[in-house]
Amino acid sequence: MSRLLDSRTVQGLTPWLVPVAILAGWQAAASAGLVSTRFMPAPSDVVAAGWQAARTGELWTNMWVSFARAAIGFLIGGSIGFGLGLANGLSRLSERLTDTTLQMVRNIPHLSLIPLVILWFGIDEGAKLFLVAIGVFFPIYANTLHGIRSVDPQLVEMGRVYGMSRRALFLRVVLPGALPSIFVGLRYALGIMWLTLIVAETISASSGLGYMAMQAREFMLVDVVVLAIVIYAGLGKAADALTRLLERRFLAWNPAYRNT
Amino acid sequence: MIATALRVHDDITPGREAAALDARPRREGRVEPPRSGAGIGPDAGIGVTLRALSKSFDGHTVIEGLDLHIPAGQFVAVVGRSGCGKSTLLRLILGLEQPSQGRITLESEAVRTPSKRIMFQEPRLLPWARVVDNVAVGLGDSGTKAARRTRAEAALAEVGLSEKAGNWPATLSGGQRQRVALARALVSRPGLLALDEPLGALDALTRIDMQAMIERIWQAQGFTAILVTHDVSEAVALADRILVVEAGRIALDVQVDVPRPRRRGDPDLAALEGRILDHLLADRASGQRAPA
Repeated sequence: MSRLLDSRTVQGLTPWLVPVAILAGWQAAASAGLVSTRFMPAPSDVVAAGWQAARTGELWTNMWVSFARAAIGFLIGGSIGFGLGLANGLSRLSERLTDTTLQMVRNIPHLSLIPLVILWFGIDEGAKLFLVAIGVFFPIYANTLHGIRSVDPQLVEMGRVYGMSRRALFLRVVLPGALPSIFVGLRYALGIMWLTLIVAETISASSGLGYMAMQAREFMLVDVVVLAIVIYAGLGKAADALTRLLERRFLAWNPAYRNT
Repeated sequence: MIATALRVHDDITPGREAAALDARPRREGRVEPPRSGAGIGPDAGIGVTLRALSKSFDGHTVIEGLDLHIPAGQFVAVVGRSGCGKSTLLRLILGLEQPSQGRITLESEAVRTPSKRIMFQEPRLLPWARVVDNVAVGLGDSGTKAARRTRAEAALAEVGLSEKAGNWPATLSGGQRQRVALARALVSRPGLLALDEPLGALDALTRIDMQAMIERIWQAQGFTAILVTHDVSEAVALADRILVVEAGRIALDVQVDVPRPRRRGDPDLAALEGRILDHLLADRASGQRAPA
């Protein structure tokens, strides 16, 4: 029995046991009429709604629009955060100049800026990209800075003594040493990215997954609302899987990330 | 010998006061004076001369007016109590600290770049680089990538770790990591190897193996070795000469004439070890001003 549980296939399937059980229970409860499908559609209805939306092409358009917003906002906010994190981790002057300001701004919940952002950008793409970028900026900034600060000074001294140039020291000692922390920031940022996008699209949009869900609510299409939520879950999982893949690739040296 | 070392400067200053005025550190590894001292190996290392060397941190003197000449190729052990200034002395010779006063002259017969290497108490390997790439760190950017790799692999073979070339440092034992650090220090064929208590964290048997390995490679390559250690028996087993440092000065300078290979438990070595320990302990009994 224990040998059966140890086998590779079973190991791979174990994490999916609970989701499958929940789905089966949900479907059974809906079919038996225990929950009203007016408020909670059966999984089969959600799948049907997904199929319908996929056939009309509406689903793909909305997913693509949301994905593009998420990616562009993430790239903008993430690269500014990464750049400033590097600069402030490496240069005392830059840190003294900007860190206090950034720490002050950090304490403002970025979603509280929505009224201001609507005033500035209207309900155009700019508003959503701005919110995503702001939301993604801080976890990347803070963790990049922390990662560079926490690089083992003994290794840096070793690099200097062994004649590494500043460039080599950065590329071979500082950056790899900061990478685990940068990845922590990346994971946080991806979570915040989806959260911000959903909120922004729900409030004001004319396309995207959030818009699709809000439209469906107006027409009481509960199955489409749930479909949007399920897709968000799937996208979140995909982003997480991508980070894991990158971690395995770049942090293979670290026993904490080893692939077993 | 000191004259040889100083001839490379034209501003020879006879008095200590005058020398002390010239606080600018001078380190010259690329001059070719006549071979000085007792180079033992086939390709002797760098000679080191310290003149009226002082170092203080925030007004607290750690090294005080120290004069010393280490001939090329000699194996010198520096022992002393914690805080006596022996590690600072090593860091000064390596150029990791700048002297407050006095000067340091390095002379070598062959032109070598880079000429000095250090092995730390901790291995200080890059955890994100494979073992062979860690060794190649010792080569800097010299030569092609393939040439660096070949040399790194040869250095790994020298410390008996060829089969670990592709491993991550995290998978090695403490002794193996320190051997990788030794390979990294020696891969560039330095003229001077500084060892800052490199075996302090190892278990007794591994330490004895490492001592034998260091001695063997030193005999083969002939670099100058300066070993800072707490362990008097280690100093006695390895060194040609032992310096006891007390309160920033050299309190005792002993030649170890016991021929190699030395046997553990040799009565001459034991007697010498006893003598040095007595000196270190007497220092404590007499309540010397030893900086903490």
